[in-house]
Amino acid sequence: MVFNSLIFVFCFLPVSVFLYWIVPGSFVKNVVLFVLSLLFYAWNEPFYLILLLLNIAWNYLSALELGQEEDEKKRKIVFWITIAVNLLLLGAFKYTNFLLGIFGIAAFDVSLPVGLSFFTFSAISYIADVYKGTSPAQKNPLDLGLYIAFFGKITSGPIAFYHDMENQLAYRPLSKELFFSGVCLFAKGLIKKVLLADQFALVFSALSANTSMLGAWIYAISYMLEIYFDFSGYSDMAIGIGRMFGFTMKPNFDHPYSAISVQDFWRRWHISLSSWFRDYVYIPLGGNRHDYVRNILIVWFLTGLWHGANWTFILWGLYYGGILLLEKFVLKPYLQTLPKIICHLYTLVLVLIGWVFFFSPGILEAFSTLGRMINVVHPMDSQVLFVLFGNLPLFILGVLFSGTLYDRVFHLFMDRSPKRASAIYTFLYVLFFVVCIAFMVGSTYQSFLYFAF
Amino acid sequence: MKKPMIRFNKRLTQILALIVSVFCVLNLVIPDSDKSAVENRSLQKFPSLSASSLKDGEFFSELNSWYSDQFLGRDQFMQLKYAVNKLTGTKQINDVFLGKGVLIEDVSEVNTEQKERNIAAINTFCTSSGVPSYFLLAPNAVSIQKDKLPAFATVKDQNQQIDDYYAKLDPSIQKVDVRKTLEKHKEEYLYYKTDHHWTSLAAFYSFQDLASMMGLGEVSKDNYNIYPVTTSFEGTLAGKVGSVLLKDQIDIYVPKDNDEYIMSDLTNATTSRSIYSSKALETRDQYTVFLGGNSGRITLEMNNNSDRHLLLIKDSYANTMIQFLIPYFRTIDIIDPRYYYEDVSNLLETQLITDVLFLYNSNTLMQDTSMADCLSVEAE
Repeated sequence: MVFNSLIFVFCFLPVSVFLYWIVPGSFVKNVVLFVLSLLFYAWNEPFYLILLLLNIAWNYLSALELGQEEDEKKRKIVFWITIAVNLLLLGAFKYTNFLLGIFGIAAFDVSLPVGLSFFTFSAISYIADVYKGTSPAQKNPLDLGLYIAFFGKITSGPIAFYHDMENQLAYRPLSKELFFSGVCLFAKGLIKKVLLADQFALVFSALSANTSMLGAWIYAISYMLEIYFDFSGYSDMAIGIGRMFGFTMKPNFDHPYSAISVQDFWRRWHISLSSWFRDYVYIPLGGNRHDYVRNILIVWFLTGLWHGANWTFILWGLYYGGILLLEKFVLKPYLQTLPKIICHLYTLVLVLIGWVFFFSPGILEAFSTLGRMINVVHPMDSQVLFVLFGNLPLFILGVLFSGTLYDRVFHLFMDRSPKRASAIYTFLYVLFFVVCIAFMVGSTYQSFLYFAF
Repeated sequence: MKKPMIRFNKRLTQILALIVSVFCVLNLVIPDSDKSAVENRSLQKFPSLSASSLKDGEFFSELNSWYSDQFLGRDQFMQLKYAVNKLTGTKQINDVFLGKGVLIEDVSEVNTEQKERNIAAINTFCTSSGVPSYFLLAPNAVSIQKDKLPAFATVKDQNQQIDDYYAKLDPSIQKVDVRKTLEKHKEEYLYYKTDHHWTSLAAFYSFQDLASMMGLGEVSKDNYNIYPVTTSFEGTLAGKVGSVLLKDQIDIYVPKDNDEYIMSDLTNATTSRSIYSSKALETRDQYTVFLGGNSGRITLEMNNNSDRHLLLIKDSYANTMIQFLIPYFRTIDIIDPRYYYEDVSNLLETQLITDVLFLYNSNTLMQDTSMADCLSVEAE
């Protein structure tokens, strides 16, 4: 089940909220939430529910062992075995076919368990926190189960760290204020996903075969906007759902397209993932104290690989590793003195090129798209104009909402004349929410010319 | 958090929660519908739970479809989506262009492999039948009324698809190419604004061409009483995009010197004294006023002195054409290969066929997957 489906918004979520708020006591609330999370997970792929439960059990028992064992050597062994099993599971499902492909062996027909990359990283965060002593081992399997499997974050994150969530697991005070902000954040995320991301996806696919220069730019830009609204919208929904059940999670995106350097971009894009790599890979490797270049390249190779089993993702990761090194050793003084608008454009163009590697099925295709982007011989054709003029309001809204302008205007207006601002924004949110429903219905619409039985 | 922000969140939550709860409760309370007239299909019912449907995930995926199919106000939401699309300048929804006051279906892809099979079967059928054969391949609105497409719309070349088809048909088959005729009248009401079919008027102009090729003589509008039977037709394209406000008029052309006839729908086992179905006007798909819709085999027997017997192999574009053919033939056997599973060549003898006519619209024909099998049952 996805958050932007009718059955989730109008049935699963309200019923879950109702049950959760009505049952007495933190323990029963947690039981309800855990059972609902398992149901949510089974909805996607009932069979993999077993995998999820085994994952929880394995990490629960291993952490208990880590907590009890005092001999450092043995702890180290237990720690590495636990991590290895987690990674093996991830690797088996996600990378087996990729590796086989390198050696020219035919692929297995397995589907990737939903959210595996996310909950594996959550589990590793837990094990590492217990190993480092940041957090004690969780005695209550239900609480750990909730940390790993909570339906708000299991499919697409955010990869909340265990030490951030630890205090919220056993007991969370019911807060109406938090609940209200959660509902509003969910609505915002849903609007981003349905009215912006999904519409940019249509533009993206419409232009996939376009051969003109402008076409290639619009093609890449529509993906750039699609993935931002898709992922940040989904994160907003996840964090919003968390709040409805009393969880507080850190923001996952902070206007990444307003960044003024690539380093700045990565402080704002998928924050939970880059923090995870910083805390659990980069710093343990030595950070900037020794082998800096090696550490950066390892982290970005892995970041790329995490996004998918394809050379394009690895190249995309190393591309960012390379740029970050370049910024650190060469570009830093220029980025500090050049006008902001130049730094902003520099960042956007590099990020755009990055997305071309990211969305292309292969490296050759990526270079061919990049080639078209500088092909001045064939500047445009009527298809691009058709797509562009048919989607002008979408592009305008997309550009406005991906920057900081919307938030600034919103808060300014709220400060200046709170009553009027509140009325206007309430109206707009409700309006957009209703339009969202219309588009969600529309996406399930299948009309036939001849009666289909 | 600041006070005004808290108040804003609270108020917005109350409204959203109200909307969600109303839909949540009503969706569960209101009984399910069997089918959707607008979408022209059966809707998903509440799935039955079994060990196997649970294990392979089918239960949950059917549950998702059930919920969205039975969602309260589904058609109205679709219309709201259309209105928003229209307001924000959208020019195309899936394969339908939102033109200037009309909806126009895009040119379909050619199913090349199947097309070659169909053509081979048609050629064999016609050359071995021993009677004159005619082929009328009707162009669609997208190629005749290009001017009504939105600005910068790029479409595949339907003329080339039609040329190629005609070129591959056996020379003995007479090609009734009506494109020039329709082109001449392209400013007229040739295609429905909300439906993928042509109008009776377009069929009439095409019939003039067909009549001269088949040797049926001169035909003029004066030969017919023209009755508008509805002005509120919302067709299949309207159903696809959820359009609002666009409506069509359907005219029927009844020959003035009309003979009595009997229409027997052999697939649905019904008979009637008229090819027009007034009941159809009360349903959503009012185009089914012609013949009551598509059926595997329909036979018309006329009370006239003609010695010609027509075998018509067709898609739904022909339904509008039949009113013009009636006076000229003693019998007409109408076969829709999509719903007919018997040996068509048998009919040549049993029905004493003297003429064979194929009538298709290009978009359907380029995608057709049933003609070859229908025409060559005999070979098996």
